[in-house]
Amino acid sequence: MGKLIDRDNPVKLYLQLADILKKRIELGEWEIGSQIPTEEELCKIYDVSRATVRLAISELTKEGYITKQQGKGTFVLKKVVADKLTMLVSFDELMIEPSEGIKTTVHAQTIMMPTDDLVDKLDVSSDKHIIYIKRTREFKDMVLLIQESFIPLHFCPYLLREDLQNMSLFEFFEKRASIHITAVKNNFEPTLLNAEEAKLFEYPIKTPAIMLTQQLYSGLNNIMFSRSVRRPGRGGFFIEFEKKSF
Amino acid sequence: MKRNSTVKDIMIDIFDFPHIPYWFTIRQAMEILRRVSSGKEKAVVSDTILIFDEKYNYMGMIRHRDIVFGLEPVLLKKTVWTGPMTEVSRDVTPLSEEMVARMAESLFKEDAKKEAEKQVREIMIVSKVSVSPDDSPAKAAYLMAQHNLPFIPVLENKQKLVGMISMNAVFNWVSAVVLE
Repeated sequence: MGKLIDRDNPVKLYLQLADILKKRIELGEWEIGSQIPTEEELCKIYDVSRATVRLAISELTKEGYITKQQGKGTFVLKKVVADKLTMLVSFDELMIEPSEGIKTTVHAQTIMMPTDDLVDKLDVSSDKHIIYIKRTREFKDMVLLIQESFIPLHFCPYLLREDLQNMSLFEFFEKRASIHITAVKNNFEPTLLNAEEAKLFEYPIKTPAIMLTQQLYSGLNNIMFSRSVRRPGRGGFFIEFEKKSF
Repeated sequence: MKRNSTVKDIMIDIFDFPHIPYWFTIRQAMEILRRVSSGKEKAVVSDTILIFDEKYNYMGMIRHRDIVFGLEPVLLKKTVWTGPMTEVSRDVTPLSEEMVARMAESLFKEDAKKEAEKQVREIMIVSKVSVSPDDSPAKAAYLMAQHNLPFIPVLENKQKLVGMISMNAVFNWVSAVVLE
């Protein structure tokens, strides 16, 4: 069964429990897609109150380890966070910031409904409208990054009218919308360029590239999901991927 | 409800409708309608999707019937193929029971799955007419009749979509006026 809660430990009980549960997921004791024990069972196993279990579960949900399905139970999510960068690195590296010689083009700033995996990624119901933003970052007409961002409309409807050519989304949330980003979750994974990306990068379709997915949280709210594809052949992440796959 | 009510008094909130951009496929639109109509927080309008461009300008709408007929364009054709080199106009010669059965047998098979990958802009009802918030509901009724529309968009300054007028809303206004 592994570690138990240590009541002499000054760390809050729910955080200790969250750590224990995380370990079980990371070690593969609880497999991807499997259902974890109910709140009641967890209370018994770890001899803690329901409130402690609830807080621990919500902590894990927030960090993307598990997902709650109404009426069905709580399940282990497909991907465990691979890389947790610090806020500073994320914002410099991944957000589209205005800088010398780098131009940003806004290709789309419109509204859609959540499709495919967005319902889970944003933790919204399927009838909630989502702001869709697609931008590219270019240097001398060469596209460096294609970024698509998805933000539930109800957090900040006026984002639709903002000038996003000269402002990062982080700047928008913090300064214009007074939404404070409390957590960022990043994932790096290999991808193959689809037709649209290939055209923008002027590379053949299915060229290997690196995709960065990012989730921004403000407290318990998942306020944005974004995916960015880097120009193939750029940056250390691509090299790492090459080594792994060949 | 009075005779001098305006469009803005009777229009529906645009967020009662699902929204998608024009490059979504028919398949994605179908998935959205299916989820929206079975969802717990059921959307007010679950048989029509509004379609926008990349700058969130209103372009048109698709309804259940546009999707069904969009997947099988033969359903809307005025003529029907009845054998080598022969086409008959349905208006002139109604199809026999047997021909209807044969045609029905061929519908919604593999081809329809391929058609579902088309973008919604290919089958949407393109927005050509609109009303302003201060127009009379009578104008909405007139345009809906002339263009055979289920809904008519309400545009502010001829550009920004601020609401939709339904036949239901027009009916409520007309009944208030006529039964007064």
